[in-house]
Amino acid sequence: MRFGIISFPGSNCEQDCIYIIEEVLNQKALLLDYRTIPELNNLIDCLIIPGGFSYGDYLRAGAIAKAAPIMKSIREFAENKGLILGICNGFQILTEAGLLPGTLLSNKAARFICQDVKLKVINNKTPFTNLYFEQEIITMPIAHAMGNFTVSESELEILKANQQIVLEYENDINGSTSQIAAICNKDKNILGLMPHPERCSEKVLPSGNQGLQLFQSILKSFVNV
Amino acid sequence: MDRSFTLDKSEKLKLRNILSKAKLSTYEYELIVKLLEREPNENEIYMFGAMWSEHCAYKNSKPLLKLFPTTSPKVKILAGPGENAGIIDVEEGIKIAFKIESHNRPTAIEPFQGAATGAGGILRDILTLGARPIAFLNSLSFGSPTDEKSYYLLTNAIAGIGHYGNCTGIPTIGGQLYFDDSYKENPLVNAMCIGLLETENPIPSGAMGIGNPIIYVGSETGKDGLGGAAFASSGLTEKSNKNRPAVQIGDPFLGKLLIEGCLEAFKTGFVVASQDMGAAGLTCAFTEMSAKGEVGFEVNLDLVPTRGKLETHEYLLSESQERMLLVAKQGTQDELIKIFEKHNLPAVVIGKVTDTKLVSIYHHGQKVVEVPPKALTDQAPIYMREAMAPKNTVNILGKPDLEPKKEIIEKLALSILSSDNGCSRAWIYKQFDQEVQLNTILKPGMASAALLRLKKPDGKYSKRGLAVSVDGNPHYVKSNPFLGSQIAVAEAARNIACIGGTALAITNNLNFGNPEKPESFWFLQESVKGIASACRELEIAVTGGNVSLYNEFADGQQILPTPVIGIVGVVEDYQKSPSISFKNAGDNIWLVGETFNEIDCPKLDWNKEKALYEFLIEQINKGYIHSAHDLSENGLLLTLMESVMNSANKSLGAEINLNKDISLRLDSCLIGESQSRALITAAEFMEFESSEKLKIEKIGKVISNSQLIVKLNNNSENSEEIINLSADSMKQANDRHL
Repeated sequence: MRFGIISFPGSNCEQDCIYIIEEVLNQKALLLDYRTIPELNNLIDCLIIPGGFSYGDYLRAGAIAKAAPIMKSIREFAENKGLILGICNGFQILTEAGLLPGTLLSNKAARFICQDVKLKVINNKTPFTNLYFEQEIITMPIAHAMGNFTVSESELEILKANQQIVLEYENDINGSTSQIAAICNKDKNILGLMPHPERCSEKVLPSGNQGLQLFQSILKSFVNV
Repeated sequence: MDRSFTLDKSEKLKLRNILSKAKLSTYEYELIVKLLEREPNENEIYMFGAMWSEHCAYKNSKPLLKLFPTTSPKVKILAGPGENAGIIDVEEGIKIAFKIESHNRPTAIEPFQGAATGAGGILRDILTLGARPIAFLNSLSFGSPTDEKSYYLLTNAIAGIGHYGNCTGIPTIGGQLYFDDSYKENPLVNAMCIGLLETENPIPSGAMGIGNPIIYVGSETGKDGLGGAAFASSGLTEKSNKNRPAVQIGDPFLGKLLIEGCLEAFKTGFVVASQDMGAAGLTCAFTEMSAKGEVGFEVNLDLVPTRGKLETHEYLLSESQERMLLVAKQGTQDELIKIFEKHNLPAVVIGKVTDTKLVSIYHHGQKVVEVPPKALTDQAPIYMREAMAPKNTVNILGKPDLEPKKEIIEKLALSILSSDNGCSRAWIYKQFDQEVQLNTILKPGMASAALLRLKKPDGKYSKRGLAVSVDGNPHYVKSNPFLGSQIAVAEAARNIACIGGTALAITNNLNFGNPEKPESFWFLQESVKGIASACRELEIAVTGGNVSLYNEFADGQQILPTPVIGIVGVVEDYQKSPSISFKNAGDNIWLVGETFNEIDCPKLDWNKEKALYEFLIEQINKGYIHSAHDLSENGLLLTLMESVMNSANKSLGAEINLNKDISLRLDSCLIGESQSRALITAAEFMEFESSEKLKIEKIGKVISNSQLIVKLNNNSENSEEIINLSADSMKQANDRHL
């Protein structure tokens, strides 16, 4: 499977994602330049927008990245039902770009939080979570200052009705509506999550390897297509 | 001859005014005149002021720093003191750069930016060599958190450090925090950075190649951080707030772009020398690079990118962040500039290397400075200050022993856990990204030292890992600076040994008071001697560091003498490194090392200390040790409590049977800080034998519930329970979210 990983100025998890794709999953990883407008449908099978501080989080996290040239390719890829995974800052960019609903505000405690969190799998019928059990409790690390996922009550009802809520925190970590940690779009081909699955995809790492199933889910859904 | 006599009254006044701003004495002015063989102009005076500050010239500490051993039979040193950072060769093509630096004074004035630029500054010292920064550690010393101002300084400094590290994608993997009232007005922020060399050889700082272009890269030069080096080398006063312009403003986004841009540029092989612009900005880069390379520099300030309109001396003294100066091979400048432009970084040729051995600076078409660079660097004055030992000593052992009563001891245990200096630091390190780059194997709170796995040049991970720690106990240093500083090194090496590592080299940050006060200077002198002797004893090298003096406030109050040791070592198999958390119920708990009647500053026996390292490293390499935790502050009791709290998620605890020798005081046994000790656990079938140098004693078992139970056997017949605490109750006391 071919993964494309975008690097914006200030992204800082792109090499981590490439390492996991190449060395742990033994798949192909292609680093994409934000200034280009490639035909992603021909190039890759899944796009990862990695974490970091694109453009230094100036204005708002993700607010400047959404105007980068490559966003045109990303929108086309999304329309063609291409798989898109936005991790942390990638999630923020996807909401800023309108590809996912909601807004990511500053954490309730107004501090950066880096720690392992327990998550509940709400929807395992997505290309990103098909190897988890429904209601399974998994551990992943978070590292963000703006992870407070916020939607209105009516938007929340829509998310629930469409089964767009994918992961929820077990505890109130950052003030997110309904303790939401990950959502997908209506068509389930775009996932945004604040936790970092790439940081928990190897047993030797302090946060364990329960993030690996997320990447393996993507492989499985690809093989099954 | 006193030259000021040749000046008229108004000129004299003006000169005195400039000298005062440049923080130079009349004696130093005379020296400058002698070196230049003429009167310096105003710009040159400012340059000398910055370069002859303690921060840049080590004028009060240089003779002492020569005492440090700079080599080690255990490791090849690729760069040592005098370079931007130390570099050790850890084999398999892996070269590690590391250094610690203070940003104390800026933090006292503007804690967020002060601490953030501390991290940014040390990052660029590492980057300059061609190394990718892979980890930060920090050592923080602040006034009591119940004091409103200290709390403001601390929380903002932490946010600042986090801001820079998190945004640049560098994990913060360790640190320490000490509270003491002496730091109230003068907090200490020491930041250590570790880098992995990405070029074949380190990029030197000495310029070379007559005619080679000098390239300025990064942020525009502005009025921020003006005179920072001199400011950092003087005492704080009530008026220090007016020095706010001397505090630099950091932009970690630009810092991240610099990392990627510079590393790509360095890998072309076109860059022959590089230096970051930190303290003393352009002045330092021009003079140090040319002095080290024994060449001249000809530069034109009109070409320097600026923010706003600057006076000549402001160009020269600005400490605007995120700037680098490179010397490139002739003809490669366009290609290098293209690389920087790709990374959205301004880069411009501002001059060239000459054979004059002079730094010649032009501005508005005029030559505004012409100095032999060595006059500013190598020929800075050196002062041997007077040292005098203070008279008072305190003997805490005069107080009565602890009563072996459960309620008293449990209360003591919980009060240690909830004390300012004993409470959990999780609220701090949770604000730092600890895992980005995927190298962190043991992160803060997990083990006695932090552990990183290391990528080889082929992109694969080595089996071996890098163990790192920052240590220092200022209270020991205050009561005995020589021994206390020896202990700081020993404790650092012990932390490394507790995860199976062999200590190889240290960097140190010497935070002391006013060297012109004989008592203060005595502490610095004894501390340096202590660190040097410890390093010789352990055969580890000192590869560099930082000296921060004049840490005092207007009323003359000096900080606790605070040497901070940043240590690096190598473990043979990172997967075997134990954490402090227990592994299996039924494992035996062993106390390694001997306990003495010591409560205040303990003694140190190098034979015992080295025997402990040997034992730990050997047994860990064999895979026999399931958990290991050094004993330091609050001795056995805190080590046990931390181990139990860290094992709660596995529902494991400890039951301890203390067979206390009748001559040993109970307080020494529980909270005494005798050195050369560690707590380990190993499988039930494992037996360890004491030797002449190393006492090894089975003291209990890992149990399958989250409790700490301690029973005291005064004689073998009756034993009484003196502690029975659940992990939850201990955590409740310990988890203070400040």
